[in-house]
Amino acid sequence: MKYLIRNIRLFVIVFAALFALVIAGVVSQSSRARTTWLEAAGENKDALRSRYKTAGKIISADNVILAESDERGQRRYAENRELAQAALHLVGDYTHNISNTLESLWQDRLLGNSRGFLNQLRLDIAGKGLLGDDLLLTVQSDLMIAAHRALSDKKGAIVILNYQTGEVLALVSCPTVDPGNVVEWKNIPDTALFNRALLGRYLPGSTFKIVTSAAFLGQTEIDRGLTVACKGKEPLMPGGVFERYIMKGTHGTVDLEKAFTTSCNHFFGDVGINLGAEALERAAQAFGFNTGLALDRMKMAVSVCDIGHGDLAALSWASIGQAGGADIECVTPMHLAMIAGAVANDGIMRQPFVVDKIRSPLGSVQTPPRSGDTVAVTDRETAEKLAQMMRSVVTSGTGKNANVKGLDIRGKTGTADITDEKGELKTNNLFAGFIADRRTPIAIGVVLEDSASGSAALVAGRLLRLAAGLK
Amino acid sequence: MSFSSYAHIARYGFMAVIVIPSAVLFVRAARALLANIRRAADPVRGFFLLSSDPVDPETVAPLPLFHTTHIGASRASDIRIRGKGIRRFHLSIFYHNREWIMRPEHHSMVWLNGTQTEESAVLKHGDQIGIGRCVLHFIVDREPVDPLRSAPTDTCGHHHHTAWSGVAVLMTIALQIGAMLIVYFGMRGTDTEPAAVFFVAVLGAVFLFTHLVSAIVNIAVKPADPIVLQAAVILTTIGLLMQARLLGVSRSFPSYLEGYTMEAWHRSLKIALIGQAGAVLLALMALTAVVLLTKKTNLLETIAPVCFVLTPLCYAATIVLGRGSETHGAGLWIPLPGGITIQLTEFAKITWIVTIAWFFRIRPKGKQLVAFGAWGVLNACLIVLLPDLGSIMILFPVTLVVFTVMTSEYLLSLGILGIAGIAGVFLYQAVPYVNRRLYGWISLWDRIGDDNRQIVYGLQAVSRGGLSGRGLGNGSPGGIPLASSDMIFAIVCEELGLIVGIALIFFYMAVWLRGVSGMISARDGFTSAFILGSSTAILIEALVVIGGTTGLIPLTGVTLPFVARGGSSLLAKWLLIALLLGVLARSSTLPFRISQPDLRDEESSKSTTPVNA
Repeated sequence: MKYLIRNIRLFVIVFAALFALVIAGVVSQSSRARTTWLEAAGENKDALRSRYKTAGKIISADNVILAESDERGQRRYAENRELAQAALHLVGDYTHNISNTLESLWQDRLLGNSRGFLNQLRLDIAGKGLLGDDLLLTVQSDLMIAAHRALSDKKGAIVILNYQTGEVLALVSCPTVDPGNVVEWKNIPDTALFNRALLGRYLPGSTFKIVTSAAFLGQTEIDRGLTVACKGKEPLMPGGVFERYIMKGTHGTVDLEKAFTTSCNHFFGDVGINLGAEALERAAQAFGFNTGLALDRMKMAVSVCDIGHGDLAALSWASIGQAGGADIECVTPMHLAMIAGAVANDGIMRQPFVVDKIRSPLGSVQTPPRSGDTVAVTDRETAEKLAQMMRSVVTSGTGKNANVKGLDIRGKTGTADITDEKGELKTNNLFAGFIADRRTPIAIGVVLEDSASGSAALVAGRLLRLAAGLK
Repeated sequence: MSFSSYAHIARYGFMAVIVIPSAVLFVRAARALLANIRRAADPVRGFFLLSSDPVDPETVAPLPLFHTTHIGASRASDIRIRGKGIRRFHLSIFYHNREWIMRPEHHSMVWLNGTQTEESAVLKHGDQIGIGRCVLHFIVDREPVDPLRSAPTDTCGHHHHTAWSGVAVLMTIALQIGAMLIVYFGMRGTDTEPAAVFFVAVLGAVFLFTHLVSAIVNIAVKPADPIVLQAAVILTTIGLLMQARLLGVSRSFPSYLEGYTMEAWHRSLKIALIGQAGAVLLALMALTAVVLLTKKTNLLETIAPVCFVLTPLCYAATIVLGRGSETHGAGLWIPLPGGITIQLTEFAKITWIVTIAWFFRIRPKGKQLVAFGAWGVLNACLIVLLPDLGSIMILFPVTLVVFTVMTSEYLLSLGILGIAGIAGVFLYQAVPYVNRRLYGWISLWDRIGDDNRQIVYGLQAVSRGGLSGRGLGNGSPGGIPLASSDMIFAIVCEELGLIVGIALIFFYMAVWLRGVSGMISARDGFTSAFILGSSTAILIEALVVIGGTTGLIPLTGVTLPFVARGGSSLLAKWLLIALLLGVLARSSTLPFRISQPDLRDEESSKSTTPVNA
């Protein structure tokens, strides 16, 4: 009997521990699941539909509804068809056919199931416990529509943001499709569900010269007054960079400012070789390359600068944003806008965000937690010099298309040659720019796939004019 | 206001009427256990040993007997005798099947009435047991019941009918009324409206029956254990509520199925509910009789050898007859005439527990242990062939717990655990179904695939529910495969909240604690072992399925006792509860089979004079 009692005591302790462990485990697993699986592939569509019956609204900064659940529990997207299409990649769909969207990643807030017990109780007493929270966004519906129109039938992406605060004013990706089609899963154009603005990885082309310039300005070994004689279509060295879009002859003998304005490949190829891959990578890092960036809960593809694996000729290509071979360079349209914004904001790159406020069904508004407000920093003088050179790009250089009378628009153009999967050569057109005005601190990143030279600058100028409030 | 908002507010009510009884039952069970552990040293009344001092035969001392008394040189023996030739575990005296049995442990020297023996023997009044130089007299002394001492040693709640137990009963009734109301209003105005009255009537009938049977059992079996019975009733109520909700509330007619009529759909819903409710009704009808039989007779002990044979037969029969019914890796359903299927493996769990209680009523000797081992391995092989890993996940730990508690063979237990681990690794390598499940579990947080999708969706539902849930009917069980059976815990958490989910664990734990406290005061080793086995089986099954649905351990096809869909499981669980109630109600006053001389005369009653046989 003594044995029995002893054994029972032992097992009571063992089972009590087991009991406590299971309870602790259930609680921790459920909270872990809440943050891990906001979207999971292959979820049942009917279940999702019933789940979003009482979900909160998604509202733009100018109070236009981007998503809401009507009285019958039907989830609806923006009434304006153009806006609905423009906002597709940002807002997403309740069936989670597109991942990395507000609808899926902010699901817990939209459905209102991440509230504390007391908070929930308060809402229940008011009879609004089942309703989800509303997401108040920073995006402007008119800018979204304008950006969507600007892309029209082209493939590409546009991001417009406030470089002082980090608010994203517009984020569109094309091709896109009506949210209804996504929900029903029909007539979806090729790659229309892919969010190019956040996940598209584009060769930066000449926009990378911002980074190369920053690396040049940030060093002391090479004289700042360095001049290089442009050799036109003749390569810098066998296999090295040469000029492509030049009507006749050469750029002449150019210094940094002239080379930046005219986007002279010879100059930057030469500078890059002199600086070395490591210095370029360091400068890129300071602009947020090789770093996991995010837009609130949404993932962004990592902009990569991983160069110096080839010979000097390859390095010269990498210096102008046209890395090939074993070298990798890529940038997302979102990041492009952030780089322009950092230059405009005295070198300080703000953490972008799109969910401005969360509004509970009772009307109380709270700011969602953010990871921080600064992503990357370049030094101030460099940023000022870059901004000054970006002005001459728009006034007298390759970015004249972006110039708008009455606005201090600055920017850098880029053209990147890529070969697609069919082996055809395509040219992507990029533009990273901003308005140098404290009252309208707006930066833009534009990527147009397979487009004519200068088209991105044209689009950027038009959109910046609209964003600045000019007619 | 719509139904969903009412349901959303109603969840606070459900939370209260579930959480409070769970806390009440848990606290009462825990208190009873503590009290019983404290009084555990109380010996059996009416039977004791008298020892005479070898040096001075005039000095005699009474030694207490317990249902199992170990005599030997070990410090942990109940009666410690030291001397040359006395082993650590020399002799056991135990009560079984209405007889006192003396059993010398392996190769011990024991004299019974002057004859040396190595065999077990039934003791009778006055027998002399010689151990070394010591002589013990076995004395039966059945004095008239002293009213002051007649209170049962087990104090579990019977005369502690506090206000709280009344509250628990009232809350159960409130829960049942609430369940009927919410199911009715949830179905009204939807596609399932024509079945609403039927649903509510079935629920009402079962709920009424639970109270009726509880009352009858309480009268017939004084006293029926209130904790176990009430926990089973509440869990069954929650189960029926969830099943009725999954069948009837927030459902719309699957119009995409061609040639399926609304009437046929309603009929299928009704049949599904009847399958669940019918099992409860059947079990409740048999409950009183089973409890009485178990309490009053030693039927359970008698059928133990039958269970020994029956268990492997159940598995073999399932292997042969269950072919073609494979769902989710296991073919466990045997079709019966009339479209009913039966899951024999659920009942095999009961015969298994009876068998292990029989084996481990006392520390088995070597040969018996080997026989049991062979039997266990045979069954394990059959189960793997099925394959029904859920059964192994429950029966293995239950067996190990009963074995360790009843025999104190710690080293052997650890050894068995090690061997089982090796066997597990082998299973993992050999059986693709196990491999898949385990891989799905390991990669749960990194990768969502076919092998863990169910858990991911279940956990998503749990996390959506939060602490207080979304309200009945507001969840989305449609997105979770096997929502009504395997994943029912996730649905409970999503709709009624994590707090209610945890309250469920408290109910199971209360049953276990009550079992263990009853085990201490049980009258014999078999009863002890059976109580331990059955209450542990219920708890382990609950923990295995809750751990599985929340990704704490790999998911196996086990059902949440009393709550999950499945008539066989429900019937078997209620049968187990009936047996548990029966053995718990067994009086701690021992019935004794052999006709005794009249022991009530002055001379032998509690005498201090030496007894000469």
